[in-house]
Amino acid sequence: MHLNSGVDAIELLDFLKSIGLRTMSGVPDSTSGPLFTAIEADPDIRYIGAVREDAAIGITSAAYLSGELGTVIMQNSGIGNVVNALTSFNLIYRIPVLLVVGWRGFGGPPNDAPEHWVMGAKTAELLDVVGVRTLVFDPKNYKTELSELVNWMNREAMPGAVLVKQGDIL
Amino acid sequence: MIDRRDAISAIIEATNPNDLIVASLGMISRELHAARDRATNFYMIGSMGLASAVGLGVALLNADRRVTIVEGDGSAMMSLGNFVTIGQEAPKNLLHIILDNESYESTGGQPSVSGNFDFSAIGLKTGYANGKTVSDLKDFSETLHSPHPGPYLLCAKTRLEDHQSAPPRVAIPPEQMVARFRNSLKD
Repeated sequence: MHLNSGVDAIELLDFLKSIGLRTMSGVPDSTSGPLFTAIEADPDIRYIGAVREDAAIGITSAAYLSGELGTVIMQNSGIGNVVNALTSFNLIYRIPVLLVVGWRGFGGPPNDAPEHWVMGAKTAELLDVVGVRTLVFDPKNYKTELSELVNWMNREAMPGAVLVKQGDIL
Repeated sequence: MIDRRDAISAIIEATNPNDLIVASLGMISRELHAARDRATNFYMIGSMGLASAVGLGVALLNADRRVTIVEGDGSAMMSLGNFVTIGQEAPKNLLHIILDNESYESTGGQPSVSGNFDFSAIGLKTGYANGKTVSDLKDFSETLHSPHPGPYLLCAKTRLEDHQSAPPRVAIPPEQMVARFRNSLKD
């Protein structure tokens, strides 16, 4: 096994289902491309295509209102679109949603295309400023860390995010 | 033109205790709360434009319950893209009501850009099963009481109100609103 090898998307999806995540929405992102393919093929997952990332948060927040935890899959360029939903909805109503965020432009320039440089450098900081607990996906240890994050989210009724880099999901 | 208060009363009158209502921020939530509060009412106190997404999710995940979204023209136009997802997902149990007073009343009545806009036509184009615009209370009420397979886009042209008659803000703590709404979905 290569040191930086990623996680098989079907295995990741099975794990997400095992910790109660079955209702999903989002705006596609190539970083999570294999996960989207796995979702499309999985009849146990209810995926609702959103036109914007904040709409995906609204849709999956309804999962929590209905007794489960929802997941949003998105790219970090959509973080600007979710700030108001998080600050004036999820964080004050205390409605948890797991954000799986593709980390384009990780580390800033010259990594990735120019449109990802500014957000790539600020992604983790921005989520922290807004008050969203954030985990960087670790292919070797993701089950323990994601379980802990989701347990915390359910306990505290707060949203959380996991940042996924290119190659993490295969 | 319909008075907002009358429109809200008609909605209340046409819904059963088991029906779920997701109301957008501003005067609509305030009016609904003042007229008849219920655990099955979910009031958005912020997040303009998010009510339709939340209402869609609630409808899809609770197919056995009737779900009504009530939002203003400003909120609806801010998230017009959600019409497309609603049309695509097409929940039969969803009624999407837009109270269109062509203005941002909560912030002082500034004009909106909905004057020449036909919400129900857009609803039909994006895949809603039904769409209708009414400007008379009797039509509005009759539509609410007639069978309406969803998703149904019902636009009611309402009057810009005298701000002095504004109902009070929704004072229920947001977390409490979540708890009681979740509880009402448990059975």
